[in-house]
Amino acid sequence: MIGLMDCNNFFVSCERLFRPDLTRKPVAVLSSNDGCIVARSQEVKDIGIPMGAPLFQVRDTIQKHGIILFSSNFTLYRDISGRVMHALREEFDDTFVYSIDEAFFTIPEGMEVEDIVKIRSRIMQKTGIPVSFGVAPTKTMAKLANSEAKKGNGVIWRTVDECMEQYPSISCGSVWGIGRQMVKRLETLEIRTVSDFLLMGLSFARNEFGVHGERLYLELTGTNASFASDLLSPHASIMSTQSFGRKVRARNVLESALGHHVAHIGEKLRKQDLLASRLTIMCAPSRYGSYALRKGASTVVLSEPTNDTGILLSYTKTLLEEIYDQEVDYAKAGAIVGGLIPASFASGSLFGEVAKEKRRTIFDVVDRLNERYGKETIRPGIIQGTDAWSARSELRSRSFTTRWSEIPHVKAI
Amino acid sequence: MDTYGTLLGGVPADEGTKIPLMSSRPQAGFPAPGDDQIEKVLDINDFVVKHPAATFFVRVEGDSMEGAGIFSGDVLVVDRSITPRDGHIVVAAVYGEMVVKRLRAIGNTHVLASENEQYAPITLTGNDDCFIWGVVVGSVRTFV
Repeated sequence: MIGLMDCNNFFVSCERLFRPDLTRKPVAVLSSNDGCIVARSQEVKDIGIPMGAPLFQVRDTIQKHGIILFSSNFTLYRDISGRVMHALREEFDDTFVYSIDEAFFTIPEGMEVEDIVKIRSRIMQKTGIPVSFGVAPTKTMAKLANSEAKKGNGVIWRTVDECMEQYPSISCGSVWGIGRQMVKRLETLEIRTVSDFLLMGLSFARNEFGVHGERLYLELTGTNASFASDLLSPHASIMSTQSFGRKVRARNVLESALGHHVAHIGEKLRKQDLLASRLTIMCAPSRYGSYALRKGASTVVLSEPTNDTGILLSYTKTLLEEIYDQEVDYAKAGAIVGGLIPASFASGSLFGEVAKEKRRTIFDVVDRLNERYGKETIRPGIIQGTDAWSARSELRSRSFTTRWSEIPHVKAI
Repeated sequence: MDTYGTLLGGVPADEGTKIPLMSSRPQAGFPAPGDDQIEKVLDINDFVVKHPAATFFVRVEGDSMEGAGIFSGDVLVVDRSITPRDGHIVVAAVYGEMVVKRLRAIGNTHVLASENEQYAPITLTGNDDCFIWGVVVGSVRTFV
C-alpha cells in the first residue's frame, strides 16, 4: 500500500502556528505578488472565495467578512515543510517528498489504519500542522483517498474494491494526472466519471491518450504504474556542474556560473517535459583552503514542482545567499534538480494558470531559438538583482523560525 | 547577526555552527597546513535540541517566571514532541496569546501557574481557547 500525506491548508496552517489568535478566524494567503489568493482556511472556503481568486475581485467580500490576509512567507513555509517531512521520515523509511506540503510513502507490511491514525496525531503534535493521510494500492488512488480524508477525520484507507465503489461519483477532473485538456477530450466522448473512463477499457485509454492514458488506467485499477520508471524515483536528478579554471571569490561570478547551470537544467527539464521538486546548488571551496568544514551546498524543496528557469533562478539566489562566504576561494559550482515528475502530474494550479501558460510560451520560444542558433543565444538575465525578483509582500508575517530577531515572543505575565 | 545566531545556528538546519576540537595541542607559530587532525566537532544544537523537527525557539517578555530562572529576553527551547506533565514549564496559548507558565495538576484539573505571586493561575479548560503549545526544555541567555 502507498500513503500520501498532505498538509491541510498548508500556508494558512503555517501562519496560524504562532498566532493562536487566528484560530477559527478566516485567513487567506496571497500569491508572490499579492495578486491572488493561493491558500484559504476552511472559514474562507466556506465563505465561497475560490482558489486563485484575484484579490481585486474579492476585496469587498474580504472586507465584509473580516478575512485576515497574509503575503506569502516562503521562508517560513519551507522551514515548517522541512519539519513536517522530517517528522514523516521518523515514521516511515521510504518517503518521497512530492511538493512543499505533500509526500508519498510506502506502508510497511503489517501496518493498519489505527497505526496511521496514531502517526498522524504524532506528526501534528510535533509540528503543529494539521495533516491528512490517504492510503491505497497506488499513488493515484492514494491521492483520491487523501482528498476524501481532508473532508473527514483525516485518515482514509482504501482497498482496490473500496476505490472502485467510489469511482461512479468521482469526476475525471479530480483525478491526479487528468488535466484540463484531457477532461475536455473525455467530455466530448461523454466520459465524466472515473467509472466511465474505466469502462472504456485499457486499449481505449492507450489508443486515445498514449502511455499516459495507459498508466492512468492501470493506476486507477490498482497496478502501480505512474511512477514505474526509475526516472521518477526520488533519486532521479539532473545535474549541471563545472570546475572553474581558477579560484573564484567574487559573488557575481558565482551567480552567473550558477545561472548558466540552472538555465541549462531548465532547458533539459522542458525538453523531457519534466518538473523538478527540489533544487540544490553547490559551491565547492577550493580543496586546499582552510574551509573544509563550511557548508558547500544548500537545497530547497520548491513550493510547487516547476521547470520554469525564472523560478529556479530566483531560488538559486536565495540558496547562494545561504552558503556564500566572501572569504572563501571557490573551485567549482553547480546545480542539481531532483524529485522529477512528468509535467502532466503537476498538482494543480496553485499560482495563476494563465501566468504560467504565458511563461511556458516564453521558454518555448527561448528553447527553440537556442536550438536553432546555438546555445545561450538567448538566456535569462543571469540572476537579476534583488529588486527584479523580490515580490510585493506588504502583509508578510515574520521569519518566526529562521531569524533570531524575529522568533515568536511569549509573555511571562 | 546577534550572538544567539552565531552560537546556535538554525533549527532544523543540517549543520549548526561547529566548533572544531583539535587533537593537536595549540602551538605558537605557523599552524600545520590544512589541519586534518580534527576528530570531532561540538555542535550546541546537539546539546539543546533533541528533536529538531519539533523544536522551536521563542523569546520571553515579562518577569512572571523569574522564580524558575527565566528572565525577560531569554530564549526558550520549546519541544513539541514531549507530552506535558505536572511540573513542566510550558508555552501555552491562552485566549489567543502565547504565554510561558508552569503546568500544575491540582486534583483533576490542570492549571497554568506563574512563578510570581502577583499573577493568578489559569485553569486549563480543555477547549481550544486554552491549550498547551509545547514543553520548555531549556533556556539560553548570553551575557556579552
